[in-house]
Amino acid sequence: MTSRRVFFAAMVAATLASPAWSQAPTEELRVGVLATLEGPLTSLGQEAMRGVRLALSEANNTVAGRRVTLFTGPTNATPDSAINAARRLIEQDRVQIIIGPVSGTEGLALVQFAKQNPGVTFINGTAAAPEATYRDPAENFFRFNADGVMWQAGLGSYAFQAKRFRRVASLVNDYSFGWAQMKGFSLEFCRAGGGIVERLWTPLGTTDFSSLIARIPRNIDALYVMLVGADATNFITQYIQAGAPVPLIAGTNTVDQTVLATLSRPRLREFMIGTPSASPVVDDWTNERYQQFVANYRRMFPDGLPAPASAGLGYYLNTQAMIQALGAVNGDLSGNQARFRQALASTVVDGPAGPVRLDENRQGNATIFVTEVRAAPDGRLFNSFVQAFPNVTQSMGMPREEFMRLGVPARDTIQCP
Amino acid sequence: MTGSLSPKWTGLACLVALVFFPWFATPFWIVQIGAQTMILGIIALSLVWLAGYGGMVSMAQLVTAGLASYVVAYFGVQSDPALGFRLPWGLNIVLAIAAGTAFGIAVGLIAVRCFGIYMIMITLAIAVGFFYLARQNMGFFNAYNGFHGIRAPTLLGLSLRDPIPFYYLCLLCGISLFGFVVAAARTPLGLALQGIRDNPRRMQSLGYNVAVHRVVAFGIAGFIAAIGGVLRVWYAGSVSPGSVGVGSSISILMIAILGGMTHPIGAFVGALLFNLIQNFAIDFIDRERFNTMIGIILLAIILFMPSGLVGLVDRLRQDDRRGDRPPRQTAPNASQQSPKIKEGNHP
Repeated sequence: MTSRRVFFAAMVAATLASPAWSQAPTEELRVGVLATLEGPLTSLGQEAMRGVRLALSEANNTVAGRRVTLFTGPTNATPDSAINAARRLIEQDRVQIIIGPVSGTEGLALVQFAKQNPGVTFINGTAAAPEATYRDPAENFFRFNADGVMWQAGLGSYAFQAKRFRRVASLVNDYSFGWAQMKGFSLEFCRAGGGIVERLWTPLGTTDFSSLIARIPRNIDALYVMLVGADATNFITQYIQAGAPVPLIAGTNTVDQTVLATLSRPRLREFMIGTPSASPVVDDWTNERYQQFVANYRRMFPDGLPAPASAGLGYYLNTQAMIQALGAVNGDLSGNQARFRQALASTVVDGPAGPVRLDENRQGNATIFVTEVRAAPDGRLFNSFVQAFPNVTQSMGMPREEFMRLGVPARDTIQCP
Repeated sequence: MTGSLSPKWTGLACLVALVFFPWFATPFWIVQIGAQTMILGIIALSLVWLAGYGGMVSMAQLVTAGLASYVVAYFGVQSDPALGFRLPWGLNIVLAIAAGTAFGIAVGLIAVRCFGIYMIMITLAIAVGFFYLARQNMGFFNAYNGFHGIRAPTLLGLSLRDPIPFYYLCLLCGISLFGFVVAAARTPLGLALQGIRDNPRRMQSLGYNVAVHRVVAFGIAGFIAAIGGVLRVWYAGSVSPGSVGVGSSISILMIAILGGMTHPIGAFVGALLFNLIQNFAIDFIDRERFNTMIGIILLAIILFMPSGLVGLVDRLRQDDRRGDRPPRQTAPNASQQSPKIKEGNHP
């Protein structure tokens, strides 16, 4: 009897006491960060956190006299994990601003979630599904990084003209970011006169690529590969074991440092040299501001990647935007954050690769680089600068209406058989 | 009252507490803990109904709820203009519950000849297959993206997506379905089902159609799970392959085991405990490791309380009675007292 009473008393006490834990109003600024710290994109999530911490440390962790307290919302690249983590950040950690997420589909889910939570401002991390800001955007969702289509600017033309690839097949992660990259690549490659003869799709988190490798057609010049995180490492290893019949053209995350740094065997490295890609980051660009960014990154994270990857840059840009806008309004988040949002919309971020400003849908422009994989004297791989495209806009230089008519990125958006 | 509380009074006290709980709780507690516990509890209730009364452990209950969620999304308002139908809101709920019930019957038809571990395996296979289908299929499930921007409707000027109305909606559904299961267990069907659980061969020879009873039980479980699925999609605002993943299916089994499958209340007790652990483990341990802590707590509970929390309370109550007073009539956790059921069921 006694033990049962104690049991119930404890339950009741716990129920009554616990809401009190999470109520301690303070002057600090509560910022939530969504990052993929589980699942196939873990390496990107860790890199994303470095981007946030770099930007904050440059501001001394203080904005307008208020200390910034970070709350992490770990996700696993699925939209529902992002929603759960965001809900937790808002309702339990009572954050005022959320930075993130990493992955495209997470971003699409979060835009809808943002509409249901008008009291919180959402600043993207690196989620790069274009629809998040061009179809039905949310008033309180801001994106200072480029989207997945923009990230491929210049790659299609470069592959056709400089590399002389005419017929290619594709192997791409089957979700919104993969569709966006495919659209960005085929937009230019098809226009230049190339043909994409076979499109293979594989879910995020694929570990065994043998059946897909067997389906790659033989009579092609190159394979366009857009796999992210652990998928890319797994594929490259298995592709080379299978004889690697044709060279690769790589999507943005497929050859960024989150993947290149994992390729330790000489045979893998040798094969990857010369692989073209396009990305918002480049490892050896001589621009002074950019070199400063790389140097700061290396100093702060000696155990991090050899050079910042796109996830690091994206979170860095978006965090910096938050810091600048908060500074401009002196940390004022009153009135449903109206002044802050106004400031954010007109913020010009002094990005490492050039100034970033938002369009009317709160989407930033970007400098995009066409790169090629090269080996440093010590053998490790990096993305070498080939060409820069400043001020790439969301409609890829086309009139907005015309670009919209190409359709929302999907498996079969731009065809050129 | 100096002695121990009877189940009736305890139940009433719980009910009062549940009804007045939103008066003094924050939205986090009302929705994330309160409403979500009810939703998980309802889905777990469908499993407790099957397992506790029918002896059939189905791993497909979460995907049954998931199908209902997808139907609500596909035939209702969501954010993807390229897909789905915008039916009036009441209609998509009817469709969702019908689809869940039908899916439950279909699972039952497939699994009906299997017992024990084989039934777990075949229903797990269905759940895994459903997950991969949802992840790859563009036409109905919208593949990896799933559906977002789904909102609970506004009813007679009352927005069901506000914390308090939504909580009461979940509470109402939870209590009704709980009552439904308790009542169903005492109907001839429920009693026959319990008989089949304890000795299918004897029931067969008594003239009961074992297969039909089991399939009907699956249909009822599908109906319960579908209601949970409708509430779940309103709660989350989205449904995507991750919502019907194997991990979530196992969570439902975990909830049922935690609470105990000997009484329907176990589903809700388990859901509350599971939900609390999920939400607060992260406060005690660093964010990258909290899943380990959840695992350890669950392991400990299963190790030390094999029949779940309900089993623990039962045991305490029995200790109580032994000390206090002569045993009264047994509590209505029928499934533990199988001999009694068989008596009641003899023609």
